[in-house]
Amino acid sequence: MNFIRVNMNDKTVEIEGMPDEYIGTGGRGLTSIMINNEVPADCDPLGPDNKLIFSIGMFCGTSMFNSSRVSIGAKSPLTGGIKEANVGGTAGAAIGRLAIAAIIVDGKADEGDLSILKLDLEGNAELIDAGEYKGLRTYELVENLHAKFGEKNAVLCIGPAGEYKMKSASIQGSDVDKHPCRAAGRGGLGAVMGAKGLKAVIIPQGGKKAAPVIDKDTFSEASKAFANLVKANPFEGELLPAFGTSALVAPVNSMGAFPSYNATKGEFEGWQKISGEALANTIKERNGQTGHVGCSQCIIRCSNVYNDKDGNYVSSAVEYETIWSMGGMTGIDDLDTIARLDFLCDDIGLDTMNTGVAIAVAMDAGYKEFGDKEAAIEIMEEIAKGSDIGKVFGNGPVEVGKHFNNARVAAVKNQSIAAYDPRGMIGNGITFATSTMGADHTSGNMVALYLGQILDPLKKDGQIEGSRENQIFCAAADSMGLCLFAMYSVATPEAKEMFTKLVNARLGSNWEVDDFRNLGIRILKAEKDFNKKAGLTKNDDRLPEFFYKEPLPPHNVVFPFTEEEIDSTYNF
Amino acid sequence: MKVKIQLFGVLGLKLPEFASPEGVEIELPDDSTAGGLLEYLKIPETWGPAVSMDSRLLKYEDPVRDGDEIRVFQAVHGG
Repeated sequence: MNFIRVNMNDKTVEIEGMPDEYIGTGGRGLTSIMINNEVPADCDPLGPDNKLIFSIGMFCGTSMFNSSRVSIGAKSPLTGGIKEANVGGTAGAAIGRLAIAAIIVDGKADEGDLSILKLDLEGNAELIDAGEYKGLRTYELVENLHAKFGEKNAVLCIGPAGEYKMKSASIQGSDVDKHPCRAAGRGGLGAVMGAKGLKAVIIPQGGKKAAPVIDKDTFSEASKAFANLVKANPFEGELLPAFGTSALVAPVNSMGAFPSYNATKGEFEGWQKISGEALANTIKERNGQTGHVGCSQCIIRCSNVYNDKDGNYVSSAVEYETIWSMGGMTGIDDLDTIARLDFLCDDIGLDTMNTGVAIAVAMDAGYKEFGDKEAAIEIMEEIAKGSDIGKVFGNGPVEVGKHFNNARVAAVKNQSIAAYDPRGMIGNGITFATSTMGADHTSGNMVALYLGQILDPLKKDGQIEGSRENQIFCAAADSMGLCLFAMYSVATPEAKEMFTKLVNARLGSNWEVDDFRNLGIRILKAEKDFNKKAGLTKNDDRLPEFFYKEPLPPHNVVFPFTEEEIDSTYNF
Repeated sequence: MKVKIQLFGVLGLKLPEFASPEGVEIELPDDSTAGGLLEYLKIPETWGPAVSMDSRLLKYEDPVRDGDEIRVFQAVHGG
């Protein structure tokens, strides 16, 4: 496996073998350990010393199902700390089949100079001028790139928000239908890509240099058994194909933990209009698609395609977190508007969560009424134009809070929370507070522990330990190149044995079951170390004050943990 | 006693006789629990069911009462 090193200062591209120190990592493990090793922690995130790293997970480029996730890492312009966001679609598998483990983008092009990094089937890469694509939104960009370079290319790209270097800017990835609708959304990584002068990475699909598998027979046998395990699980095998992540709308509202109207209520009055069930029915009526395959080699099919009343494509996939940020938080109980806002985020290149919460903070401050659908869409267009007010919104909820003098901003380390109120699911509050990534549901979501009756969402017992173990698990899982939904099946002792066997068959290593957890700890320690060097302290591991002071209906409780208790989360 | 139930997710597809957006009223023995409700509905534990009432998740041994409005889901991971 190779590394491609791209220097945007002098537009050079070099290829080197993957150094030994990174073997046994991949995805988030590789990006975070490399950033901690190579990026000056005090650097300007939008300056030449930051590095933007695209790293496939350990199983990308193999025949393993659901193995098309690529991690993107850098110092974040949003949080000021380390960042990893991973994205599905087609890029991860395509990069893996070129035997490329990582693309490391260093330096910074001259202001206004824009390039595309184009890979070929031999695993080589070149920078080409992208001046003609300047300012394009992602759907038009990808259509143009496919017309010019061929449709059998995966694309990772930024929209106008990334070119403007907005702190909510995402990096979008193309799905199997060639739509740039999959997002490495969090942390403003699109701004880092824009600052470097990189508009897109084009990766040919169909490479023949598959990632090496040392013990092919064992790998084949264990991966089939693992696939059967996933398909037999009622969550991955039945619920996700039917409803996708939107299946969470009903249970989270029914637990009183769905942050609504800028986190002033825990149950949204209109939730049944925007539930997974309502979404699936609407999609069916309009000849859209549930059980859609969005990512290469996917067997779970959690994606969907949402059409308008005339049966025309609007967006893919309308997911739980966006239904919340653009629906519950803003008071918009209309799926058509939510789907439109989802599309606009993908097209402009924005994190749906940070953007929805930013709109909600402004509505809460009286800028517009909660539930004002037209206003939400107008705000999106202001962001796309890069107007003064658009820049405020594009930089996320904390800047919006400052602009409108509203302290009620549900964010940690400047990154918005996700769709679980820390007062209604207190373990998620621990994860939001302490994650090295800023408030992030994929860093250690506790919702399944509550629905599975393992923990009470409102009682302190076991929450810190649960968050700790979840954060360790997710750090390791994000290194594998499989989506979290597949990885959630690695829960029983038998499944852990099976997964360890797969790692060893892939690498020729001697991992024991605990080595998965050990990798997670190694990653979190590297991330914590970087954040410390970057100037983040335990005072940054805090929820906003209103979560401690304002009781959340319907339970009318506040976040209950002391600072000492929060700080014990990373005791490992 | 009578309770009103609402099924969500795949449960509504698997048990169409109990599936209605407005909920379905059913009759249970007076000392019923959340677990007893699941037995009545023939929802096995392997489906990962979760039961809520009044914005709280119920344990399987928790009682249900006459007139309760109960929602039944399947366990879901976030991602």
